[in-house]
Amino acid sequence: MADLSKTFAALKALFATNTEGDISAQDLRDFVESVFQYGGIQMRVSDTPTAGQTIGTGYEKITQFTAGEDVSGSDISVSAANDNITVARAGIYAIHCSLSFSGSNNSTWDGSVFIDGVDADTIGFVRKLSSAGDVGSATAFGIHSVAAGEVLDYRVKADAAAKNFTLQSGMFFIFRVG
Amino acid sequence: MKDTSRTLPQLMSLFKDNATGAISAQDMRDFVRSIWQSGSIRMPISATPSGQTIGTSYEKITQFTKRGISSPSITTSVSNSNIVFGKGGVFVAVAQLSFSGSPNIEWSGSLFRNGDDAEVCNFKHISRGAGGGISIATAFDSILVLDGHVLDYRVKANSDNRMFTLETGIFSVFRIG
Repeated sequence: MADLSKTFAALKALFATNTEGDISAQDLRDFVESVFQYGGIQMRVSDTPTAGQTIGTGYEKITQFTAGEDVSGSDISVSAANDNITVARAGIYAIHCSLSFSGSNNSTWDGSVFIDGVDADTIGFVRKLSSAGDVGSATAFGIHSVAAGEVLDYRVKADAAAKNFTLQSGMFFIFRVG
Repeated sequence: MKDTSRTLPQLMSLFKDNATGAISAQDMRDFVRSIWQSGSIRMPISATPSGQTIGTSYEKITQFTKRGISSPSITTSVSNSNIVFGKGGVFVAVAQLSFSGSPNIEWSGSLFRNGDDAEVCNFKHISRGAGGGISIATAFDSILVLDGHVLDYRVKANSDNRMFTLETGIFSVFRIG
């Protein structure tokens, strides 16, 4: 039998009683499988930056990630092609986004995690690029509940229309904490 | 019986001996409950920044406006701008701050445990120029907390009466031991 990741409630149900040795070795393997869940997408420093994206005052997904993590947990599907992370199992996840970017001068950027297309409004940053030629770094870290099947991506918006956002290096990564 | 979060020594004691089937289902549930502990307070981008005047001594950031999710043994408080631990352990604390404020200021940040500078989870940032910039500081570190300990995050400037305005920020913890 395949070792299965479980929700928090399902894990507790596995351990409901042990009066007759009901907690099996499979239950314990499922527990281990559940605990270690992680995955991410990246644009590596060694990659050549694209021309970037033109972004305005509405949030738009960063589409410049180029690679998925080499390994990920059984519940986590990462897609550099779609610039997103899909979570198969409900749980509480730590979410981290780390970006180095250049772009239009004198532009202020907001970033935020979107879950199934909705602004989670929890794991964000605000960063201003001053003069032309700046490469700014921004990080965002937080903890959020995610339902089964939900898709996570990271989006940015500018303080004015038609601003250039060029990812020089970046990482969008999650791991389970509950 | 209610599932209970436990310290690492308590967990080790639960699993001391299974020669006679002494490890119970409740022990396992307590283990599950114990390893997954997290909590956070935050100020979303959508909130209106307020700001606070900070001097050369560390002062608690009081601009968080919302509670994040939290486990039963962790109490997060926006009004007190802190996180209280019902059960001790080793935790990762993360302060993630986007801030603006007075120009030409050197800012320092540190994690405080029960009112004392824990001297971990630090950052230092200098805002140059005539102002108008928005900076980002991230501090990520592990810290040992005991039952009842309180964590908050504080900043100080290199001169008095300096404005520190949180544009967005998150102060979060999760257990690793």
